[in-house]
Amino acid sequence: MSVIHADSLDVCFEGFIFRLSLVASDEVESAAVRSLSDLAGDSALRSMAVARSLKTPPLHHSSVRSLKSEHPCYSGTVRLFTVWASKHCFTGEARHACDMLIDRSPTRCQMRPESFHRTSIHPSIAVGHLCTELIELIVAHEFLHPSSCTPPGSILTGFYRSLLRVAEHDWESEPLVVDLSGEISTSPSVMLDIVTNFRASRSHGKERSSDGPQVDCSNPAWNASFLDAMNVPMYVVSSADKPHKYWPSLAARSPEKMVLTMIAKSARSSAMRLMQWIKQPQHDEMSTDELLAIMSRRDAVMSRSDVVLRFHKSLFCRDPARAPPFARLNVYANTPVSEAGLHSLTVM
Amino acid sequence: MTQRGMRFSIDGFDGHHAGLLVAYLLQTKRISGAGHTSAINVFQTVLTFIAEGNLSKHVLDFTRPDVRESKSRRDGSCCSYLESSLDTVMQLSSVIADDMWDFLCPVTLNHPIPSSDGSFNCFWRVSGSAVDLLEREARRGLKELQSHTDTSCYDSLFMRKMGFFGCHDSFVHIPFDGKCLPFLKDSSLEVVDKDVEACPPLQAVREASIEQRTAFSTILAHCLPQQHLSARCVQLATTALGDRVQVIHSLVQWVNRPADGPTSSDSSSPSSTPIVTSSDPTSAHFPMWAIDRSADRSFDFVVSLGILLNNDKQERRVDKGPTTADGSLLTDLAADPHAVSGDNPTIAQNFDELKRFRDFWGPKVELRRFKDGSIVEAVVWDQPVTATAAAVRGDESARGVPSVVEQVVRYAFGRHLTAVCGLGGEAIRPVCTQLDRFLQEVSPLSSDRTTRRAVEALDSLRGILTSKVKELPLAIESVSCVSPALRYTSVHSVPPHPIVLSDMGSSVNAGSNKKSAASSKSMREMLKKHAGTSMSLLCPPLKVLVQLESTGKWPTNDLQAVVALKVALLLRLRQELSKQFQVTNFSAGIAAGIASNF
Repeated sequence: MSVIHADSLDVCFEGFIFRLSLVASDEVESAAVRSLSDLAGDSALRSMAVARSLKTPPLHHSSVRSLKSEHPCYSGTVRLFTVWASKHCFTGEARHACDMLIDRSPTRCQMRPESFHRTSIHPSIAVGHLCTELIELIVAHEFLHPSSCTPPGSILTGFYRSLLRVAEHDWESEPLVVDLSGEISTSPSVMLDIVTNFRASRSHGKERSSDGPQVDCSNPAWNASFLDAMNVPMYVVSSADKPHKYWPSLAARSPEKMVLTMIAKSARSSAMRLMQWIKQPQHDEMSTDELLAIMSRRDAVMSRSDVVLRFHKSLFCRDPARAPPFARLNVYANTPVSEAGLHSLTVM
Repeated sequence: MTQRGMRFSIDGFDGHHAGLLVAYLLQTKRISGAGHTSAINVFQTVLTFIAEGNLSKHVLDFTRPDVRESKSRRDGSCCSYLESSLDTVMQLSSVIADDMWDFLCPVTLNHPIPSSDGSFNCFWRVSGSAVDLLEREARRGLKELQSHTDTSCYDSLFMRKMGFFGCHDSFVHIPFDGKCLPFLKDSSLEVVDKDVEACPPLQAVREASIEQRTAFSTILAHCLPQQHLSARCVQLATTALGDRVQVIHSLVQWVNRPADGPTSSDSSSPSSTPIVTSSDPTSAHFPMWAIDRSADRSFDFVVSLGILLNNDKQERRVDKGPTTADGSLLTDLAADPHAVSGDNPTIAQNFDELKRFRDFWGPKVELRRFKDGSIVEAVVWDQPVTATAAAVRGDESARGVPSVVEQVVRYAFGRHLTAVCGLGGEAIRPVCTQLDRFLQEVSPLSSDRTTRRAVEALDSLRGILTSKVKELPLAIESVSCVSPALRYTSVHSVPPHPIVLSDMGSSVNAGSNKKSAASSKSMREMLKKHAGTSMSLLCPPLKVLVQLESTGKWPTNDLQAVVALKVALLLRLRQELSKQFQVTNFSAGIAAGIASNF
């Protein structure tokens, strides 16, 4: 079973819906993007747009899969960190739900998450959140570069060290380099490129804030708008950014500076409480409550919000058994087959 | 050592030991004292010396600087220095040792600090576990130094603070009640009701067998209680967990009694025995008491085991006993007196191992037959189950089954340290997989099994797209995943939707009556199965990138034309999927509408 969209094809296969998007060669995709008026004159941003949407994601995906097979507890650590970030309102889950409500088309199966970036609801929801890829990279850093320790062998250790990394990393003056494939550590020139890129973007940001000269002319490809786009608070570069010339492809999805400060503060606080919980010689019966207290602290974001929108859980959880009131099929023994066809589904 | 939390533990190295070590290296000319050696070179030499295992293999003798590592160690538990020309240092060490001894050992008998030949082991309180931990850190630090020629390793070596609890994967806390120790050390001493009232854990002491108490007493007769209990815990956990772990280290921490004085109920209550915390790291592991009170010498302490897990084997549920080379049953051989009499040393050795295995695991050992045909005595642990899953299954207790590591540790400590840990190991606190279980409770669908099903479905679809769809104008080179739900990291994994699953392969519009009937039947069965429930009509798609082969016929500099071509290719792909694999669309109007826009 398949459903066609403007840019993709939904194929129903073995109980899942796969959304297929066609990708042509690099030249074709770059030429197509070049025709967009807002990117026509900016080759760096143009190539970045192509790499970000078509080249980097598959590389990132395969690297994460490899890491998962090498370190079985990696995926659990990412999931736990995501739960932590979600409980602190630092993830973009609400973004998807907002998108459904705001951009909902009268025709089912035609919802486009890409359009949400034009809507500004809250910094921590709209742009200033920790996306899944960023979380994967932060956690991967602890597994690939464990400093003086061995790589984490449990979710507990991986989670604790990831919290510490977010809290203690000097985001302002140091890039977080995640060598997923081993190419960066074996090539000093690549590392040098990353540091040079980082310094260029940061110095551009400083000059801009002090009304100094606007453009770093050390590289003709780096114009002001490009360096502006790259000067993000959470500067994370991985080996999957190779098609992107080791600029951070996740730059557009980095948290804002204010939100990053909130994230680091919450991470530090959670890490301290987690360590206290680990060190307790007894109190086992209180562990669930204590863990919940460590994991969820929404005050930091909630106290700063004027309006809070609450979404039904089923918008985030994909369990078919959890039916929201607006998309629910009450099944009886005599429910006609015509009511339970594929046409009744809403693909979100 | 400070950054790694080693300096201030009871049984670890401290600054004084480090000073002595460098002095020894100077005395034995491993470090040049001429002043032209840089600090980093001296540091590297010290790390090399430690990493080579010199601390755990040899006795370091200060009296004969020309002879290095003059003696082999006998027990491998700690290092020895003899008195030497370093009089000032050694005198200070003696003073500290006397104080510590007077302070730490209210219940012990004789101790080996001053040996019969007048030598003094100034590393007397350093445990084998601490030496092992130091050696591992030294090896790791040396590797960092050697792999980085620049100063980039400086941060990882010196700047990041990662103590005992940050470096290990799992932990087991074993609390020891100071009041038990006098009773435990003397197997003939009777525990009366009055004592039990004053100290509830003594009930376990009273119920412990004479053999267990005698064994415990023997251990305590030779050294500080916390040192030997710590070593015993490490040995016990290492034997019990086997290859599930890489290494186990221990850390001893004192626990303060309440300021108002201990009572019988307070001493057993978890909330009454908080671990000493202080902003001053030097006081974090040592007892404290109010300045207007006399020192309480019966402090409780906690032995914390730090475990580095073996990822591949930590969930192993079976511990097999020893087997013979030819696979014959040791139990049968044991019944034959000639077989074990010593004629065949291999069998006798195997039988000894079997006896040790049985003694260690006790009633948990059972004879089992395995798929490879072998019949061996083995210990089988329960499958871990979360509380939620247990409740769903209708388990009355609904408490779930803990992880294998936790089951093993509780059983082993309950069996071999009953007096301290209780019969079922209730008194110990494993910190192993609580977060894993918490994650499962919070997001029950985020399991690897659910993701694997989606990945397998995509693999099947990839096979069809790349090799079986023949009539496309451009061949499909590869199919790449980009969805987190297909790389095991999504909190909300996507399970197969019952409606999609039942309707798969159906043909509503193709006119195939046979297929349509099969689909209707499948759907009816699904509805019957889910009758009385509510079903979500939301279904998330899994994003996939399909890479087409390269060609020079694509339009250039026209995004609309490229998009239109892609839609045309998608329509063709849908047609081919429909024709070759009898899959059709159920809302052709959408496709027609989109196609007409171009």
